[in-house]
Amino acid sequence: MNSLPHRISPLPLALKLITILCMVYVFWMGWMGEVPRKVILNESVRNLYFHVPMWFGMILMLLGAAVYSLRYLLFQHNTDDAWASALTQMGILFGILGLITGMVWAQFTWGAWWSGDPKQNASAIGLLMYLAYTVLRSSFEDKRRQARISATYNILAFFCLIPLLFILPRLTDSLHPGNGGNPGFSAYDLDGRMRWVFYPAVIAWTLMGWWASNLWARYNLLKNRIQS
Amino acid sequence: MLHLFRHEWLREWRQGQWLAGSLLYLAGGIFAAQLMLRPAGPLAWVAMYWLLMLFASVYVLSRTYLGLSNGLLMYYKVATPGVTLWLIKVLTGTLSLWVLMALASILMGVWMGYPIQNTGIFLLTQFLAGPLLATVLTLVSAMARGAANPAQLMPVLGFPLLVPCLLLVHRLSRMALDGLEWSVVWPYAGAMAALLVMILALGTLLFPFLWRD
Repeated sequence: MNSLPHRISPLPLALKLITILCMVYVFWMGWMGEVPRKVILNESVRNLYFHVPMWFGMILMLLGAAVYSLRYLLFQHNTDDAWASALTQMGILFGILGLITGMVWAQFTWGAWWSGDPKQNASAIGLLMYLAYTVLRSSFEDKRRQARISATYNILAFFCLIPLLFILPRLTDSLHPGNGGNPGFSAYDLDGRMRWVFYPAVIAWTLMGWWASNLWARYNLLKNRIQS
Repeated sequence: MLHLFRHEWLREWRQGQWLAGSLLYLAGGIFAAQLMLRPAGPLAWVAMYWLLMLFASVYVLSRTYLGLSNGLLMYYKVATPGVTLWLIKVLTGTLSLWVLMALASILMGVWMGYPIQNTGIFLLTQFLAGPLLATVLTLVSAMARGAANPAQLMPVLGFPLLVPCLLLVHRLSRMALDGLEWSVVWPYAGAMAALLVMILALGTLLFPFLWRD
């Protein structure tokens, strides 16, 4: 049933160039550019270009994974399953990087690697959910069953992730900006300079994640085709 | 559908194991806890209660599908639409968990004291947690059914998905402990109810995909 020769096309060259250019720009401006000086944050506010886009990227990729999972359940194309799996793996990677950059930032601003902040806890649990996805995938022999069950779990996990990350932390006290009575990001960016690097950073990291997922998905499809 | 529900219940009763097994599991856990935690501070009491409930519910609900023989599975597949079966499983699971929660409260009260000041809030928490746990774990149990190692997979898949529920349950239990008034409780109870509705709806949509073979 899945012998249809569906293929995944590579990312368009234009998007690849945008990714590279934005990434170089972000790294250059991130380390060498001027940033507003704030109490406690000082130079560590540069992490804004790395930590926050990681999370944007993770959410967008996991959203993509959930959409591709739904497509697989509806149409049973193995390309959709490959995309879903690859996007989830990249989402996990971005999540781990986001957690690490967050912990480094927390150590220097909040005073400890782990503060028990609700958003910190919620992101760790989110990662556990998707790591369980990886375990689930590896416990099936039959490819079709693997794809179907993991697609179902992916959708379920995504719908559990959203309240966990966005709704529950708002119900409680939090150290994060924008939650628990703290001012949001605009308060840190008095003259709008950081925005010029921040938005390209989000674009760069997200596109990088999609590019990597694209490669991973195509690699997995080829590997499966060779093995069967 | 009612007929099928009665059939399901009768089958469970006749096997008899599920009640005895889960009760022993719970009792053993609570006894071990009280050996180490007596006298139990209020926070420890609440923590142990919900952790043991989590493990016990995974144990009870893992037998929802894993214990079914092939013949019975065939009968279910032919005789019922997927959604009906799903709702029946969730209902049975919810009732089982409510029974377990009541027994756990009694046992913990006997062995570890009863620090809860506002029992009404605690009852509401249990009332909402029962269907939530049952829904998620029934879904996970259906997913783990065809896997290589289902019994190991269920906790691995189930616990992370249940943590949002656990966070809300913990908050509500703390309110019950401190004897807070009801006006503070409603936002969190509402959040739990919303989570329940969402997961129930999601499960109803996704279950037919899991039930195909």
